[in-house]
Amino acid sequence: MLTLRLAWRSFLRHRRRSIITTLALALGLAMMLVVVGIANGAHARMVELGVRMGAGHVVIEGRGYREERDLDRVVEGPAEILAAARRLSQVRHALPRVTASGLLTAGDASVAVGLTGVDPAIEPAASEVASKARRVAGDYLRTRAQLEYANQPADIYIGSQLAENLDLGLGDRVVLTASPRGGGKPASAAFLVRGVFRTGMAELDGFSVQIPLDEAQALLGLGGAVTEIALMLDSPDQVDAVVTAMKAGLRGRGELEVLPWQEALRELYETIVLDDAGTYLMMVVVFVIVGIGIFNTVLMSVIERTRELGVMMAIGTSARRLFAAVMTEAAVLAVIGCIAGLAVGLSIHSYVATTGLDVQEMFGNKLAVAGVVLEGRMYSRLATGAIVEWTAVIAGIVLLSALYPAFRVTKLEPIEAMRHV
Amino acid sequence: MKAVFSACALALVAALASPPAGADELGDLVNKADMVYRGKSAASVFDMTIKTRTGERVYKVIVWSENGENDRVLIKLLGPALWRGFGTLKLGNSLKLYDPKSNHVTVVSHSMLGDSWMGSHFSNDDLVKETRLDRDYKIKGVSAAKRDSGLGFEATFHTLELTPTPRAPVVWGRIVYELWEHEGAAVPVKVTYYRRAGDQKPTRTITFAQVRKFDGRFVPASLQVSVTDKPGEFTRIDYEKLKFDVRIEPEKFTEQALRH
Amino acid sequence: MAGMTRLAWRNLGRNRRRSVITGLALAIGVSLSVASFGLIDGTSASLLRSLTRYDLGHVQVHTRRYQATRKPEELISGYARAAAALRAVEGVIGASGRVYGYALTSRGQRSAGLEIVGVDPRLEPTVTELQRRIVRGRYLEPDPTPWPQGRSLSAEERARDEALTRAVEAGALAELDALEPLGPAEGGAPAARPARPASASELAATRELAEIQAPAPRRPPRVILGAVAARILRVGVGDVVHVSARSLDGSMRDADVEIIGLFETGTAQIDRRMLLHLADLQHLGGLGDRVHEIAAVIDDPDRAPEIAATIASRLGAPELLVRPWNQIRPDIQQVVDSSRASTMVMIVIIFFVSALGVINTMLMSVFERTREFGVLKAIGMARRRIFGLIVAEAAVLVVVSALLGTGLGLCVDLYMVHHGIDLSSVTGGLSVGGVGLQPVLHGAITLEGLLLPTIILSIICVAASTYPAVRAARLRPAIGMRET
Repeated sequence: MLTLRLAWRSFLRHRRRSIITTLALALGLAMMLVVVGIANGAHARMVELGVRMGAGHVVIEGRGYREERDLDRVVEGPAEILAAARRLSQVRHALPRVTASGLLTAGDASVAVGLTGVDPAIEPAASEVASKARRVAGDYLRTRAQLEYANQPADIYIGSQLAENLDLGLGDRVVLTASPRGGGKPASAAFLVRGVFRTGMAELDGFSVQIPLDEAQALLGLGGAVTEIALMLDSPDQVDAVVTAMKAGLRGRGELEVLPWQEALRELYETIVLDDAGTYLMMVVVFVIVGIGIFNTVLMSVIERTRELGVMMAIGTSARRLFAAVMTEAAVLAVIGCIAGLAVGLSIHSYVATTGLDVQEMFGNKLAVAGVVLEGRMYSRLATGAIVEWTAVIAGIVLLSALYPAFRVTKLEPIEAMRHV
Repeated sequence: MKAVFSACALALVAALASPPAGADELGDLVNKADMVYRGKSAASVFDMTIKTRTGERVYKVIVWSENGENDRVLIKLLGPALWRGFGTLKLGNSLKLYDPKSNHVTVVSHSMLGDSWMGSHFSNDDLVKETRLDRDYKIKGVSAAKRDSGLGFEATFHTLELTPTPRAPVVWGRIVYELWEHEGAAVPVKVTYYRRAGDQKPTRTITFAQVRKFDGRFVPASLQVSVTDKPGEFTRIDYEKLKFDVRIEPEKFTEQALRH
Repeated sequence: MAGMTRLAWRNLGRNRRRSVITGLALAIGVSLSVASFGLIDGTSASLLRSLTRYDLGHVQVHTRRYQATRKPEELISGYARAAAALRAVEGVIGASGRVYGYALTSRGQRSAGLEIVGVDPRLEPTVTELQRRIVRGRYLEPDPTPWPQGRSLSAEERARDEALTRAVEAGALAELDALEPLGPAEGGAPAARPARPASASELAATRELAEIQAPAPRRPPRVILGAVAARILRVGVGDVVHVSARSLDGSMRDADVEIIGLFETGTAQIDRRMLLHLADLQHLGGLGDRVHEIAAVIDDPDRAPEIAATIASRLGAPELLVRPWNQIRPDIQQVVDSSRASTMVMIVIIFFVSALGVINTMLMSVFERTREFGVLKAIGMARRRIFGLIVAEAAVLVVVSALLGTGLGLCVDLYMVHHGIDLSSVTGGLSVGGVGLQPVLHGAITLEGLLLPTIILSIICVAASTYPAVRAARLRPAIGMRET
């Protein structure tokens, strides 16, 4: 591998220049890895929050329910759908839910609220609102079987702002009134406040309550039906696969539709797409600048060796070998630069991926973007495939930039070249 | 000897077997008091005085009601001129409000139940609710004493404490019901509503006064609702005429009747 | 100095290709930075505009209790005087009062609870630009609905009212008297006498007395409706809807209103509103001359806090709270600040990469001219001057490239300002903190955005050039000259 050894020596001969060039390369690659990683991390956090506070990665509901919110478009017989969903390996949680609007009365004050009937056993692990992290008082809902007395009012879980506005404490009695399916008179049921949550989002903290699923079904006269089934997956990347699988499984049930979060949380999705576009644009700029720099350097290094190259041609080295030699030099640059870039970039990435960044410090308090309040910690996320891709791209750019200078070499006239100063 | 013995035994068994004094009776009592203005059907004319921070208003009101599995109530405002023609129709649990000036009927949705009725201290919910005190509350007698009713006879004045049965859809943690009974009739005196059983301050109080005979029954001619958080404000109803168990034509409880 | 510059320029020209290529990289970096600033500043400006010019204004005045409790009875009295005082403050372009309420709005079977806002159509356009977002129909009319003021009844009228009421009452009592008791169904027995119908004169008298106290408007009040509200109610321009609002004394006031226009701002909360004339809503709600809020718009949004303080002292009313927009919505202020900050971070990193290119170029240039430097030093040129020459070369290169890049970036900015980047195929509209952004992003040209990239790049690159410059200066003459 004479070519390689020559290339390496050439690299060493102009150590300073080579180092600076590889440094530029490394910096460009490292920066891209870090920035994209953090952007992905931020987006992932936003999606996670949005999904966990809302309808999950994938939601199954009655067709047209989203617009009409009409209790006739419900999901009948959810048990088999839940079973089918849970059989999929990507599905971490399948949650049956009943959502409706109602009136919460405490003493002589009342507030219009959105109520959600949930399965108390699985909800805390899956959703943000029910999670322990968001609980500021009390405990989570219990099923009827878990209540102290068989005949006491069911539990209700309310937002902190609601608790404050209605002066509610743990154990207080409230009445929830709602319009059941099929119209007719509003139905009421009593509940005791079991716990209080705080998410930081005014619509949830002030106007949202959770009750056990069967209580909601009874109140709204739904029988065994639910208004939606939310699926929480292991990772957002699996959404498409799960949507396809569920659609196939539900083929016989045209009254239902399967929606990925990108449709359920449309605004959030669009914000992410735009943000990504901006990041990629920035990356293009970096690549262009690096490419130009490499071009310059290689070109200069070729020009200043014109005499030498002329001599080599004169003694019989083929143009092709010279071409290969220049390209190999560029390749060495690329390899070293990429290794350095990966080293720096990936180590920063892995630090942020494990320790994470506090969103609040970076973006300020309680910013809501596309309906999701940003907070907590976010972790850098890079797909291995993506890393390989971009490294290849930057290496490719290096080689591309070296193409013209290398080509120029082949066009040298040995005699003239040797006369070059 | 044996006869005395068995007689005592029988008496003992009889005494033990009879239900504790008043559980059902108390329920009956409270129900009767609560239904003091109602019968199988009823029609009444009364004045409603509403005093708020901004002023005082008096409506003259006529009410037709029919009780059964489905309550039906028609309320019309007779005066003053500014309010004449306003109507409220309750059919079962649906409530409709009529405004004569715009000739518009509003159906009260469940989100409006908390709103006050015609600016009074009653809410739409109060009108629509079908709470049965004896069914939704556990009733305990606190005191019972015979006293002069002020009407020329002595009546037994009861103070009862009501706490909600476990799953009753009611918001009050405790109600203190004061009433008197006499010869089968029960008349409310004062009802105090507490949000939580342990609260010292009530949220709402209804006081009854001026008991008279209306259509052969003893009825408080005046009742007043006040809210603890709004001192100085009240809504008072003074009955002029009250008739029980009368025949009311079914057309009375239609939207047409509401509009006229 | 001038001589140094000319020398630097000539030296750069000696290897034109290299200088041009390096300059190109720098120019691209700068032009994209300028364009990025333009886009970010433009988006922030749009966001701010959406926030302040469709709704908030730059400064708002409320009673302290209203800010804490949002109770409808917390009102600012003497609105006219206060608004005039506000307008007199230097820097204030316009001030307008608002009244807020909540009404159950219905048409046919559909009903919805909407926020209703009373605005002064003559003054409001100086504060918000809602009138520019009318998508159908037209904006509110400057004059309030001709609505006669009610008055309380005179003694004579009151007597008549009482007499009328007594008559109606008598009729009602008689009706009750005529009621038959319930009993076993007497087949065919007549039901109670039908209700005594109100006589025509009674109806007329009632109407007259009611009209005196609460006259109906001469025509239905005209309102404009947000697009979201219109969608929920399925109504359009020309439709009449029924509005039922709670007035201050607790009673419900009903009215039929006519929709004369629809607006759409992109912010859901605003698009769910119904707007009508301030005087109309004051009339409906029994508020007299009072308002809930006075909003003001100023010429320079950055001066909002300062002007808010001036207004507060000018009004001299301790029960009133005067706040600039960034106190009302600090989260939006955060967004603006952090977008700028993160763009800066990106740009600095990009420029570092560029600087490395400059170092390389200068190094190569120095290397080529080692002999020359050797000679120069031998004949006595101070090290410092050689240092200065290299730095000058770098500076000239950077500045010229940066200026070119700025020019290019400016062109992109201008395009973005006038055409904007149309994202409506990708998104229907974004929202940040609940404030809607139109899907067409426009740029904004600021002095900072134009100059900052050049300044930063220059600083970075000139600093970077000190390395090759030092090397050139340090060269020992003999060694230098030995190079062939």
